[in-house]
Amino acid sequence: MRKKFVGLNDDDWWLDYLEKQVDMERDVALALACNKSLQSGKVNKDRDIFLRQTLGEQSALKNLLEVRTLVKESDEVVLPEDLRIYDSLHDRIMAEINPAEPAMGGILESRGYQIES
Amino acid sequence: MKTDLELVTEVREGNRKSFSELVHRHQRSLLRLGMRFAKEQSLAEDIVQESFIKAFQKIHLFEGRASFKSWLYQIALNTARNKFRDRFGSGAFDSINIEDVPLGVDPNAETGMLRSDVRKQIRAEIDKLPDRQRMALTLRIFEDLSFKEIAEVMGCPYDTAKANYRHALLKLKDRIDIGDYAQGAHDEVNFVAEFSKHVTEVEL
Repeated sequence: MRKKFVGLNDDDWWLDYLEKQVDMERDVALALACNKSLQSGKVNKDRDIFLRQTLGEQSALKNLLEVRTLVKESDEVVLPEDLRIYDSLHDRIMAEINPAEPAMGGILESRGYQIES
Repeated sequence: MKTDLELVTEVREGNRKSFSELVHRHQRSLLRLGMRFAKEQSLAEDIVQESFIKAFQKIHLFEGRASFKSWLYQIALNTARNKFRDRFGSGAFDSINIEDVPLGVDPNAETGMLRSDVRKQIRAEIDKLPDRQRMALTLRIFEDLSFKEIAEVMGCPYDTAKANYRHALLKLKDRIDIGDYAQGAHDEVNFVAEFSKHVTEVEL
């Protein structure tokens, strides 16, 4: 479903990173495969340069996490903590559906039968 | 633990206990969604109750292409829309669009995390966003839905849902004065540490 990985300079990748929807291990392996210098013997030094460059190139996205945090913290919807509220809500829902039999037409239709009115 | 889809199949076969399990699983997140659109908790509970009842009645229509949660959210959003119409009648609120309703919050609530003026600024800027951008932002940040689920709820392609979210975040970034609340250096260090850890793992 997600767009094909094209590298850490891809804005979409950063958005996925921000949203914790990346497979870090897989994408890092791909990034390494794409970056020959990182496959050389000077891995540690080159990695630091690579990281610094990557972060620098993403300056437009660097503050997004801060914005996201602020937006999240602005949420003032607080769910009730009293568990009895949920029990009561659940019971009301179940009481509403229990007297009623599931619509037979619906069940038959879902199994491919034609219902004649 | 059974999946939602397995429980739905059992409900279709007449097992109401399975529906009870689905209610237990999703009622909290649905109530939270309802409370975004209704200031009164009782009204939010009504939205949840009606949404589950509709889901039960229409469960034969659930095809399983989207997740049950996404389907439920779609029903809840439609229910909330109709609820507002019912509540306010056909007068000035007749053409009310649920996406135009400011997210239901108590202006006097204290979070202790942000100064009230910054919080108000953020809320105001969110409300100014185009409908679909605001919806994508709300579902992602407040409801913690994945982009796939957001796409299902909004009835749009995955990339469109993601683009709506991205545009919303970028607009807010331009409009919100982050000022003293910036944590950039801290986050950057976290990223480097996380990335380096994975690089090491891959190399090994």
